[in-house]
Amino acid sequence: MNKQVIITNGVGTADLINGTYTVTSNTIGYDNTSINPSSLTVVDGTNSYNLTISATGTLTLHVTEDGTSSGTPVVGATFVRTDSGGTTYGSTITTDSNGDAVFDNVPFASTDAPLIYYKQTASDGDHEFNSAVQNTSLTTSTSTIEVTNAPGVSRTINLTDANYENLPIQAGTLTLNNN
Amino acid sequence: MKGDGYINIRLNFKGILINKNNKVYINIYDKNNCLVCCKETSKPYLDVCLNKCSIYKIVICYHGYKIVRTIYINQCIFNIYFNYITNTSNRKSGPITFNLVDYNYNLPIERGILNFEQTSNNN
Repeated sequence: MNKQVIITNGVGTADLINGTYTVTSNTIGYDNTSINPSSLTVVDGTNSYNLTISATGTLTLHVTEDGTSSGTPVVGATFVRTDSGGTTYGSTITTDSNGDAVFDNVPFASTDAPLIYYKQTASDGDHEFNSAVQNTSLTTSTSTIEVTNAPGVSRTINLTDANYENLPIQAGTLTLNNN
Repeated sequence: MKGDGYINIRLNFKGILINKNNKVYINIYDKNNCLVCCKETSKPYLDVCLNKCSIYKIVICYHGYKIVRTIYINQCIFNIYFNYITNTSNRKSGPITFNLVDYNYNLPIERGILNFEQTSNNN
């Protein structure tokens, strides 16, 4: 007896009688031999089962000031995988001295490769960054995306006495926290 | 023995009182839902000859209870626990949820197909 279960956004349902099943996967972009468990026993009283699968691709995010392969690298920028809605998954990765942040074990396929969602969560404090969810897909096992983190623009801060209009404060220190 | 490919199996009925006043009635159907065996017994077991490595549906009646089991003939003895079965296995197979996530990221897989091939039936 064979049953096929369509998985959409991580979930699929099927009517299955009790028994032990050999599980195989047809999930584009993933190593289908990594399906775990590959043998599953369905028993009374348990109507939800969790399975995992893994991929072997590598996505490198190369962060520079001008978004080119030869640009000045930005060290310490952080990224995280997300779903299409922006919910985060897995560990944060950080750019190294070359400006590279590497997502290992991501899916790839020559056709119909699944989308990989991610977003930048921080830069090094001196560069601008885009915190919106981005996506890409890998048609080969490795791929590099150039990311721009432009240097922060020089700003002028004026500090005056509140009770004496336009009277500059001669000396002082302001601390600005980026929220 | 019927011949090559057939083996004698014993269905043991557990958890019920079986005697000449409390008989068990058994119908066995093949995978095409064709009746291959129709018997009654006043013993707590039934010996039948079935095709090895085949799937059969067994319908057991006892005092108004009707039990349906599907078995895969890969062994000689099948224990059928009646009290357990009357509560559970007579049900229609219900919807079962399968959650598939990326092992490394715990990220739900957007699109995929899982195939389940039954290798044995729980008894």
